[in-house]
Amino acid sequence: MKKLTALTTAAVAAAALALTGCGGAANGTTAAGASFPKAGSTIEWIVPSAAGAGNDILARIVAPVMQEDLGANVKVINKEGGGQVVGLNYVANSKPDGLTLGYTNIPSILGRYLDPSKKAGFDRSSFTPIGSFASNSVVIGVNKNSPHADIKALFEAVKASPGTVKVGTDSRAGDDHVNLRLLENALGLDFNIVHYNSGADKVAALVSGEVDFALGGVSSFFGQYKSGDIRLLTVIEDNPSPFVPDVPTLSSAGYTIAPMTSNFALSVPSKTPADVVARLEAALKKASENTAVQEKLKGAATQPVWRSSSEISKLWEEREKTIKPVVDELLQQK
Amino acid sequence: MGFDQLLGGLATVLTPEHLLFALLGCVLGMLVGVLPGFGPAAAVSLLIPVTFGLDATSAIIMLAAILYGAAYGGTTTAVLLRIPGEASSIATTLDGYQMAKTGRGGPALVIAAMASFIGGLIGVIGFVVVAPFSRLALEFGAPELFLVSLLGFALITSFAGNNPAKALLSAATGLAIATVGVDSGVGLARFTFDMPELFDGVGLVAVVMGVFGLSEVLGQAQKGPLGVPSPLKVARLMPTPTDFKRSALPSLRGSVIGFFMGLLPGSPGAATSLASYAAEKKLSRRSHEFGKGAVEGIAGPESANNALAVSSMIPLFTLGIPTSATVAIMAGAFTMNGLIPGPLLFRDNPDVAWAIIASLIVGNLILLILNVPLARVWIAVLKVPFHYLMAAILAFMFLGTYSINGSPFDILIMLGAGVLGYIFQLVKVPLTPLVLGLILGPMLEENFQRSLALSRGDYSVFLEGPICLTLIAVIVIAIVFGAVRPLIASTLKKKKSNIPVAPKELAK
Repeated sequence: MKKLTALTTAAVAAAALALTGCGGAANGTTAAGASFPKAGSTIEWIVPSAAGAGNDILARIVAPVMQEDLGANVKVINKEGGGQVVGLNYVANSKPDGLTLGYTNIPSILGRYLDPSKKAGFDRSSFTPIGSFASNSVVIGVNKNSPHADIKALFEAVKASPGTVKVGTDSRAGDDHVNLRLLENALGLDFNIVHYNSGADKVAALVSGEVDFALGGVSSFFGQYKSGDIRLLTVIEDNPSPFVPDVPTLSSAGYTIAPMTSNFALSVPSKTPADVVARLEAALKKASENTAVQEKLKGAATQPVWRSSSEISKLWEEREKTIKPVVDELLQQK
Repeated sequence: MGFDQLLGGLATVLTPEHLLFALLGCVLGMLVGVLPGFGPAAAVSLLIPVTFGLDATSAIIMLAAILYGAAYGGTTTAVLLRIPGEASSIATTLDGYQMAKTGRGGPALVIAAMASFIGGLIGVIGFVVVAPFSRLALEFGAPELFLVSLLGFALITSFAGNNPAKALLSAATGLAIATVGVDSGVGLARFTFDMPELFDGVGLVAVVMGVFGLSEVLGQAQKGPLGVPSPLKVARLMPTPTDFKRSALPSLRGSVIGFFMGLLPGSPGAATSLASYAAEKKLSRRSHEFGKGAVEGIAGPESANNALAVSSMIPLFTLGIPTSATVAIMAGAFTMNGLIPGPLLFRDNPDVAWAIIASLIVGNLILLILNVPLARVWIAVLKVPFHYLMAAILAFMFLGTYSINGSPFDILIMLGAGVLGYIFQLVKVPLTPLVLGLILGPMLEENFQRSLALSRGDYSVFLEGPICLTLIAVIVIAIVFGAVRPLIASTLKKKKSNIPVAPKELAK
């Protein structure tokens, strides 16, 4: 019976697919708080990266559950381009009626608007967060044959010959790059930073030994960590990650660094009425607490953690303060 | 690993339930793939939620089927309408569309389906044989990939027609377009005019659809009402025995080329099917027929494309590393179904792993069975008078281009590329080198920068290791035999006589 339902869903999806191309922007009428969202209206969840990217898949896990709670369609829409700026611009400039929301991941989004060359048409004041449904701890990994037994050994090696230890990133001026520069500044280190095109390319370079180490979200290393191809040296977090409980924190190794965790946060345009934000926040919170959603997120090595609208606002402000000097500096050098 | 497990996997797949999901995936994939611009990656990611209610094996069998079903859908439009649904169908437009124009659209589609099946089958056999050694693919690091993309430029000579200068102009235009965007090494914005839409460069699919599809529509329109040809006669559906005979070896060769290219990081599908096309043209005794409807020009690239689709999954299965955007989506589908792609898959869930691999054979067989009769339906499209058909194609191209990214800007790119392609055709500049330049340019540049970043500016990085040295040797040979020798030969020939040279590829 379950199979049959799945089949029907598939058929419906196929029919819906024929229409996706014609979707375009929703011309929703302004929703007045209490009645938001009108039954049958469509909420667009803008993913500023390609279909199939990590955050896209998470959106497709969460959206159907939000849809059920809201009684309105929640449609995941990919708007790739400009290193996420195209999609984020679209959200920032959309009608503040709650019918358009999008990823504003903290800290990724900071690098998008703090760098003036990216010509972003938004900043922190353009958005009101509705909350964050999951987070990803940042870890440092090395090849299984690496001579460095622990993080201390790696950092000592970097100190011994500055600028020669190779580290891969998933993109220039992306999260990895900013986090590495934060580490360099805080600990007085100098890496040879090499940019790859994606998280997968970076992991491949680490497994093949082309780079000496890599930094990134725990989910991107999870498969190779499990198979033993990559050793994780540390998690840059106050507490160990539940996915890799035996990997020590950076602070336990004697380095004091603020957690670099990335948060899968959603926002609406800043002028959205408060009661609409509250309604969306409630729906997102409920979806993030749904057992099936949590299981799927954990399957993708992503930690289901709820952070409210106000918590994300605060976190956004704090992270902006720490990251701005690094981005400014990045613009002048490597 | 071995063929025993593969047979075990086949047994798992051959249950009504799994077969049904493979069939469903193939059909959905094909329907989506026929829409220009809507590639396999987008199709799979859109349909991922549909598989939520299924068990992991069924879900992944269905998603994989959507993947190669969509790739096949792109072939159909490439043959019938000269719209490559995705970049890897470009090679198929070259001869497929010419065959369709002469009433042989049916045989073209059937040959494409058969070659695809052979490619898929050889891909799976190769999968079983090569999987234990797949770690070797990682030996291709940045310096090696730089040399591979350099070697790719040797392909231009195969698409040059009789005027190398025009081919170089076309390739240079492609390279120039490829420079648009923020460079990945140092973050310099080039020709972006402060428009975020251009920061990631110009979309390949939009350019390809414009250069090949739109330019053809414009070319037809230019002929005016009087020039509009009557609906094409569709001679016969099935290929002749000669067609089959001529396709056999190219399919095998194409499968091998596609298989090995699929293992490389990046798995550049479009460049691979063009490489297979070039190889067939070089090897064929009928190379003058290429570009005018040679079945070899369909069989080779189609089998290469499908073998690549299978082998590009090997690094995912064995190392957990997706080497292309499309495979990355499969990786997402694995993790969402609670499976960790990589060596552990064979240890912890061998039944699932082998069932999926076996389903690739079954799915390709389903596609073959579906497509032979469907070819009759598809070619009915060609019975529509051209002036109506062209209008419909135009509408579909707008829709398809918009659907890539939900971006109206891509439509402008497609229109611009269409005008460029039209002008190129008017002055008889071949179009394929442009696309090669556009594909190979970023690969070349990024891997060059990355190599030098790794070596901290030491150029000897390109001379290290046996793979680099072999590639350099092959490049030298390719230049000598591909460019220098024909140049000498043609100079000698000119002195002897004034024999007219073979007409140009893509010339009407």
